[in-house]
Amino acid sequence: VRNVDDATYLACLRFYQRFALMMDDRDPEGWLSCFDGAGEYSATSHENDRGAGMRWFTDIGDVALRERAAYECGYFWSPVRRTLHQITNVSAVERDDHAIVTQAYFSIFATDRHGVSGLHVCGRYRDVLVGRSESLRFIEHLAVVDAETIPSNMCLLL
Amino acid sequence: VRLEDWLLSETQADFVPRDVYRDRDVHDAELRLIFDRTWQFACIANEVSAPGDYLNVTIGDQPVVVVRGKDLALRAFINACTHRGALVTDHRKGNCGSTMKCMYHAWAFDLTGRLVGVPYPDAYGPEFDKTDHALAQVRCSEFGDLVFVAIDPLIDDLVTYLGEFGPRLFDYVDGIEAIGRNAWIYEGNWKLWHENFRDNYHPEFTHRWIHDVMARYADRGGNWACRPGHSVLQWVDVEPDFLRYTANLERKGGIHVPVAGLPQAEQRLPPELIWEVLASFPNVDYQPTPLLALGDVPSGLNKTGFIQTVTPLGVDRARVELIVYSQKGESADDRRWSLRHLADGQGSWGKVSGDDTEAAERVQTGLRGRSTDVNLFSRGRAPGDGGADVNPRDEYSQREFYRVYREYLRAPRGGR
Repeated sequence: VRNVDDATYLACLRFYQRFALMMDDRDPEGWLSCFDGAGEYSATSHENDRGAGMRWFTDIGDVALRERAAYECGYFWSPVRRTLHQITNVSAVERDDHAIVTQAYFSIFATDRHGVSGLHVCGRYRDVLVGRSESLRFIEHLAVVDAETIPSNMCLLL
Repeated sequence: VRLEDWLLSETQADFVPRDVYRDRDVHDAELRLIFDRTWQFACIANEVSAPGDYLNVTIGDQPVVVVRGKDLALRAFINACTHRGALVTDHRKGNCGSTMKCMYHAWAFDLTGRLVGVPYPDAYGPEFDKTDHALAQVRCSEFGDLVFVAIDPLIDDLVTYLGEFGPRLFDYVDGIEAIGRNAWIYEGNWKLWHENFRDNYHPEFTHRWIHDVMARYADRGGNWACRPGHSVLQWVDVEPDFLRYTANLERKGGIHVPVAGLPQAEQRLPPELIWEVLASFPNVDYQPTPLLALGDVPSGLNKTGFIQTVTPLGVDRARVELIVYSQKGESADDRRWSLRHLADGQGSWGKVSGDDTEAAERVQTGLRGRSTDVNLFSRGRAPGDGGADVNPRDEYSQREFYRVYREYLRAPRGGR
């Protein structure tokens, strides 16, 4: 689904490209810059999303997002391992208030403590973006992981 | 220390041979002598609330389905078709209508487990009697809103099994409903996870959040062995230190986090809340929020919490299941808070549990080393089962686990 113009769609793709790099480079300030100051970040699994709707967490606003970034970028004991976020199949629809509702697939490859790389988790993003062009940012970012049984280390940005 | 000598010993379990975490024979014995012979938490009753609702669980290595009957009774069966052994319910949970029908040859079982449908039955001859081929039923019992199952028909009833632990647990788990669940797999022995929730010595070191916000939180509280095999940890909230927390967030995480606006700092909780983590033998822990009168505290703190089970998948691999629950009949605002925020600390994503999985995997890796033969559980030297007058960091809780653990492994099948 794509009812935004080509320039806006391209801006959305560039935005997701930047977002993936910020996560994989463990750049907490860069990751934070992908969110509006009042932005919301949450994550859950497909089963919970289809059920009562429980989220693993919901971080709302700049301070909560900063706290999350700190955890995932070194405050947890689990060593920060290399990740590769792939974001594909992006769709974008503009709402009447000019916010852009996007959906995308994500897959995360991670390198474990033994130095072995493999698929960590995959799922879908359901997001709302505000702003224009280079200033696009999340007002809502929800990651829904496909797996019900997840890895022991989910201490990473999604 | 020879494992066999330790298992036969009647002395206090101040230490545990490391072979219990790495010996495949021990793992196999645990499945038959412990997991088959103990009451195992399966689900919260609201997860199977309507006739035909079912939920699949694994008890040790046994596939079990819990199903709600037309009479609204809960029953549990070994989830294996009596024809060729295929699972009769496949999805994690769902509603099967009035029968559980095997996808392989369409044998159908009603909600009481009776075989009610066999395609082309005449070929089996006139002696074929469907009553001989019912699903194998296992015991199923409720405690508050918790549903337990037991593979072995000869073990004590659930209330007897819980013993003095039952009354300590009941109020926490009566009047609750599940709002979410997830599982994760870690590379470690199942006991390492369970021990961790009987251990009040590690949190202020393993969890940076606790270290920074609640230093010396375990100076007040208690540590109980609840016979047979269960335990309670207790502690009293301390004044949180968010300045130290945010300083260390920045030092470790590389980003400035102001105290003002920090969600935890804005939660105004009553002072000196008493918290408990309860554990039932062999593999369940309960992490309730303190019970308070409705309206005393911000949303989400009345009969909310977590239940975790851990299931062995091998000697060095285990599956943890986390069930998040909230109070029945709570306000829409409270439920909304719980759905959005309650699970933040637990789970393999959680601000607390995320460190526990790391510890468990590091321990299992280190246990392969041949540096020493035993793990120590000797903190707290006063005789007895602990209580409110011992240090919360003592290890009465873990010693009780291993006292009963040895009893199960010593006893022949059919009795303990």
